[in-house]
Amino acid sequence: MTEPALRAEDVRKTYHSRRGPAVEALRGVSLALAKGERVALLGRNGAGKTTFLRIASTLLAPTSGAVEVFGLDVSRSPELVRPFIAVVPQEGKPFFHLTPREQIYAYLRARGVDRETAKSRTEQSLEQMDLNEVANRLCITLSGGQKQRVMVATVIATEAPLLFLDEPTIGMDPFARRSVWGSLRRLTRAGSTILLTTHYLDEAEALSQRLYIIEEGRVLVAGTAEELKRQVGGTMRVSITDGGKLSGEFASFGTCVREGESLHVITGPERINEIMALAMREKVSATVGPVTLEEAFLRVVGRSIEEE
Amino acid sequence: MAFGLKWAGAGVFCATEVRVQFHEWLAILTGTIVQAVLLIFVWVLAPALLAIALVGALVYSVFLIGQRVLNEAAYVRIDHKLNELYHASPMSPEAYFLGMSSGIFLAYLPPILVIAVITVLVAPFDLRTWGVLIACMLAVWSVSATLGYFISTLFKDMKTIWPYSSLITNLLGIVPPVFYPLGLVPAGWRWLALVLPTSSATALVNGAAGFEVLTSGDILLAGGSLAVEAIALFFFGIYWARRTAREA
Amino acid sequence: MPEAVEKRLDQEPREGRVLPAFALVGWRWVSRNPVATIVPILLPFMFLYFLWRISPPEYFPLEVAGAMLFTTQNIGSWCLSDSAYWRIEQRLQDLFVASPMGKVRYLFGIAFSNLIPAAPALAILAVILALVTPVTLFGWLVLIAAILVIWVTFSAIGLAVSSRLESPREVWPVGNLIFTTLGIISPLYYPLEILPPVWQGVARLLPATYAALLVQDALGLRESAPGEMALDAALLLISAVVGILLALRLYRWREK
Repeated sequence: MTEPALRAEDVRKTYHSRRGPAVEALRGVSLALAKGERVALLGRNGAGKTTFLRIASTLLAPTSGAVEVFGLDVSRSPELVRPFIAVVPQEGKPFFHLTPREQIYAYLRARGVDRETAKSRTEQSLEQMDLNEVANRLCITLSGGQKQRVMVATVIATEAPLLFLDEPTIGMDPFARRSVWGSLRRLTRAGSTILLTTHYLDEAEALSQRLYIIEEGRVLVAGTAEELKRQVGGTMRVSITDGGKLSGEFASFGTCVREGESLHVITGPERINEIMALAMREKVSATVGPVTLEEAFLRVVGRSIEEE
Repeated sequence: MAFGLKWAGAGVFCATEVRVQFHEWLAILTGTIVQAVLLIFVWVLAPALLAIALVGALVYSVFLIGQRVLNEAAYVRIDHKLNELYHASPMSPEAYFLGMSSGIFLAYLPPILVIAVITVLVAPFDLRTWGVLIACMLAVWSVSATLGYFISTLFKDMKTIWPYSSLITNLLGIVPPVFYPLGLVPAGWRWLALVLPTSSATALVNGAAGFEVLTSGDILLAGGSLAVEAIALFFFGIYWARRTAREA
Repeated sequence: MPEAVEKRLDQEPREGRVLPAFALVGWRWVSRNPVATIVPILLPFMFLYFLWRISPPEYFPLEVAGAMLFTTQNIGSWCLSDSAYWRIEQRLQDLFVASPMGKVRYLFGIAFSNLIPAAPALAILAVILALVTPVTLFGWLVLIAAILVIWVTFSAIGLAVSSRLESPREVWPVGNLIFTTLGIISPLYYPLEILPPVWQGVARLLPATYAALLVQDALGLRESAPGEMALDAALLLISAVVGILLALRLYRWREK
């Protein structure tokens, strides 16, 4: 059996503060990534995704537990691990007085990449991230989304065997997000392994081959997006805006998930007509669609991903 | 907008700014280090000039408030974008500018008072000198706070701001006769020293205290320049605050 | 292990390279912000002008040499500022931690990138020094060595301190406190002997003092006892070693 790219066993992290009580950010996270996989950590804000990613990428020491990258312990031998990884930090910004081209090139050279390779990878990365038009503008003059693309481009250019991306598409427009997704897919086809954190459900669904849902520092469930959706108990979703009043009336049709003033009924296609008829009689609005990861998330976590 | 409404919120924002600055008590303490360095140099190299240097330290301390306003306004705008919260609100841009400038002035008053006490112990002031000192300090505050606020709006990152901030505080605080007597300036450049806000303020206070002899022409030039600069820059500050409340 | 991935691990560079990256960072800062080079040139002169107004003229060569050391010492506060901003605000340090670069190279890179804006000021002051006092080859060698050691020492101090800051707002007061305090008593701009004896004792604890005395001796600007130069040189080097050890010990490469 080939060694996984990343293996984590019972990772725990407690933050101690002089000004308040200790915070248990991770309460025993175990997961594994096979080589060449794209895996997403999905969860609400404050779930522990970034904490785990920072531990795995040698940026943060765990309180206990073990993480291995290509068989190397990240706590005991971080300097051996670091040549094989690269990280896009959350809310990072490029050097303000460099251009995107210089930023990427300088970082590659800093990683020990030779001049010619650094130049060609820089141009490739600018092309992939659609940054050619702004490649020679100072980073300080770029928009927030463009700065984020520069950060992603910087790390994509490394073609490191294991990439960690913390909310990589935050602040980006839909086109830019799809550029990032395309680049990440290309990287995994070329052999890189990717672990990303996100709270964008469409990104998790579109990009990841497997995902872990983390809540309050624990892994609640793992699997592909399809597996998680199947667990919800149906393939169709009827969303009813009932003001919070009608849960009982629809309970017999399938699994009901409450989200504020909306009720999502997860059911099979054969019951849709009945549900719509009942909605009309009750004079509430209803929409129909396939089950999405959102329903799976709501079912697993018990709350919407937007809720704190 | 009615006059009263125009300044509504300035007091509250001033209090907010005082609270913010007091959280950074280390900055308030270390805000007098440069003055201390220069005073030590004077004490070591020319001890007879200590009283004049102390007056200079008082004026320079007030002038440094402009640097604090620059840092604060730039940081709030560039890093936090909090200025947008206040601009998109009933509080006027000029109340924002005045609140910030006065809040920082109040927060940095304690170390200024310490220097004032030391000055008075070395060479006691009469009531007239106190009056001149307070008027000059308010004028210098108006000039420096406006300069600081103006410069803060010109740049997009904090690192770029530092050289300009450093240039102005040194050009107006170290080079002119602030920590040394006006009498040491070559005759041909005396008029410039009496026009620059920091050295004119220092000269006026030194003259009132009897540390230096000023002619009536000197007093007119220094007092007139300082008054014009203070008033003109104050109104410019209001204009600029309004203009930069919305980006071009 | 699949062959493609095995090759990739072997092909990854195991060590980072400092100079290509940080030379670009430092040069671009200066080339795109000429004021950042001009101000370090002007600042010592503004200060020298003030001193020239209040001190005896025979101190001027000593003050020029002191200005060179003071300019170099200031690099420490620039290192503190850059390191803190890049780590806290821009999260750029994370990129370098998760890379083969390593802490030592990264810290050296920051120090090197900040030497670049100071270099023109040092060159101009060197020319002025040569004009106001004769400087032997030995004097130049000692001066350059002292500048390099001060650069290393104060950069290390700045970097060590920066790692403990939690907010960019702490940069200015902490930098001001540390670097102005370290420079305040050192006899960079006046002979040590004119300080009261108690203050002389305090001054003799500071690395800039060793550098100042060493340079003043080498330039023939003070009389010293036999062996004093060697002692000052040794103390200066020890300060540098202490500074480096502090930086390596205190600088947090990985958060706890």
